[in-house]
Amino acid sequence: MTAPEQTLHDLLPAPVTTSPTAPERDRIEARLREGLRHQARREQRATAWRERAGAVAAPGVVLACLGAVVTLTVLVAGSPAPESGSAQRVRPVVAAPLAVQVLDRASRNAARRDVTPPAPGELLYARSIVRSNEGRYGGPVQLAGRHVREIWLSQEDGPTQDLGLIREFGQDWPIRSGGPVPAGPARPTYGYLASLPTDPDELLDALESQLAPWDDARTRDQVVFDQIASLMGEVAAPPDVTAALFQALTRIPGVQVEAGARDLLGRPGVGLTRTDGVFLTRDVLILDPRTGEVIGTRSYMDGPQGETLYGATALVQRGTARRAGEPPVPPADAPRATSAAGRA
Amino acid sequence: MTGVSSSPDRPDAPQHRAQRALLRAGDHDAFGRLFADHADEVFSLALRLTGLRAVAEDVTSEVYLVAWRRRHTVELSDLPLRSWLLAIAARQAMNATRGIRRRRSFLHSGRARPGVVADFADETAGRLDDARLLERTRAAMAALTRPELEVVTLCVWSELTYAEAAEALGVPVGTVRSRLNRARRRLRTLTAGPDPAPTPPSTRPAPAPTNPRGHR
Repeated sequence: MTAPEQTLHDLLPAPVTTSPTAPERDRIEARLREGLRHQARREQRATAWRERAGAVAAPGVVLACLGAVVTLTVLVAGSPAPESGSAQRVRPVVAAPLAVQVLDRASRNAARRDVTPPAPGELLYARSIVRSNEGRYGGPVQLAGRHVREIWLSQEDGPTQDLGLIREFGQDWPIRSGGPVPAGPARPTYGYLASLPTDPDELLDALESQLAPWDDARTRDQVVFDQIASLMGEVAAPPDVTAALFQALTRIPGVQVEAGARDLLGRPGVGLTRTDGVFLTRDVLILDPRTGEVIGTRSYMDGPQGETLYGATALVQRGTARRAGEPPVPPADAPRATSAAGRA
Repeated sequence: MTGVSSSPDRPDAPQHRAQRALLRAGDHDAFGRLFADHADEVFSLALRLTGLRAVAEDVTSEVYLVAWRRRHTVELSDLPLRSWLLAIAARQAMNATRGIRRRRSFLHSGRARPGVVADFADETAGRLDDARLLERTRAAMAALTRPELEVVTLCVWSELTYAEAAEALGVPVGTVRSRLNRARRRLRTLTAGPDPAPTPPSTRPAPAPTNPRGHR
């Protein structure tokens, strides 16, 4: 034993323990078996859910309101996902090597994070500092000053028209759809995300099977990247699903890392990006390398004079709220610094 | 990046890698072995951190459930799965105590919670030295931050190497080292306080881990 441990061992000896007794061990095993059964049922339900969701179509109007990255309409036809725990095909890791390293680490850190699912009836809340392009369509980029954007997103998994609220520019903008929209890839509630597979290959299969046809010229890889990005910002997912989303990104060609990325507040992070070869725009997801959490975004467009920043955000608070427009519920537990702010 | 993906000097490295690959692929036998080999150790770790056998029971089941759900995130490295599992255990045990605010009451007013003392007192045969030691240990645990207690649990009590702890926690090796150093400094300050512990701690043998290192 080296010196520091030796000293520490003297300073803080391990409390003496014994192994579990036979009855204790039996109870541990029984509870574990019950938990594993429950887990298996959850995976089966997720499969059934995907098939059911495939039958419902939703209007795309809503999506523009959901902000930043959501660009897809909800699926038209779902395809049955693989039934078993084994992926039907294992996809090669094709992202840039540095990106793979970053994604692996983000995945591991994300898997370790504590995520409290929203309680029934609660909305997801996120507060961001935003700069956006206020220039005219077709004209030069004019980045407006910083402002605060708050969003409340309904976590109702069934079809609903009241999808939430955006508070921005001193006004409330309710997010309402023309018709009831179920939770799904275009409205990723915690429940929807929890229903996704936690194996990266199966997850990609599921996401691709849920892609709605897109009417722009983006490549399929770009559309999948955009979709995954939309599942990571102002949303909440179980840790193992977020971990799988990061792993899934390693299977998409062209995903790159931007070292030294900073969000709108200048907080350092690791940027993940993919250049859309058609529109020559790219979004950068900025991650807190320690938690794998998205802390902000930047959007660039490429032009004759090089890249122009046309939008940037910094996510400063996440939480849940009981009603749209109400401040977030303080965490039930001891107050904890938001992981975006980090521990000094 | 932790920079810890292989250690060629470990003769059992290929076996660890194979075990990791099996678990990652969802192999039931590999998971069963993980339970058979390490459940006792996970329970001990949980008991040390929570102080209550009933909670340690729950935590042990939960640790394996989490391990199964996160099997896809196992890295294909040459380090034993034990360190990965114990890191999950440390975190789950701390979560359990944190969630029900038991850690605070356990650590700060242990005397007011007879159940806590009783659980440990059974083990320590009611000797006065043991009671003092327990009292002191409890105060010392309370002096550490969560990340510090985590590395102390893993590196000192469960005797993981720095590299194993670093990989399992997803932090650089230097971070493990600096957390241990901080913990040591903090604990020294504590023992330098007005009421130094009367028992020379080194006379007490460390409880051996229930499984020797490297055992699969």
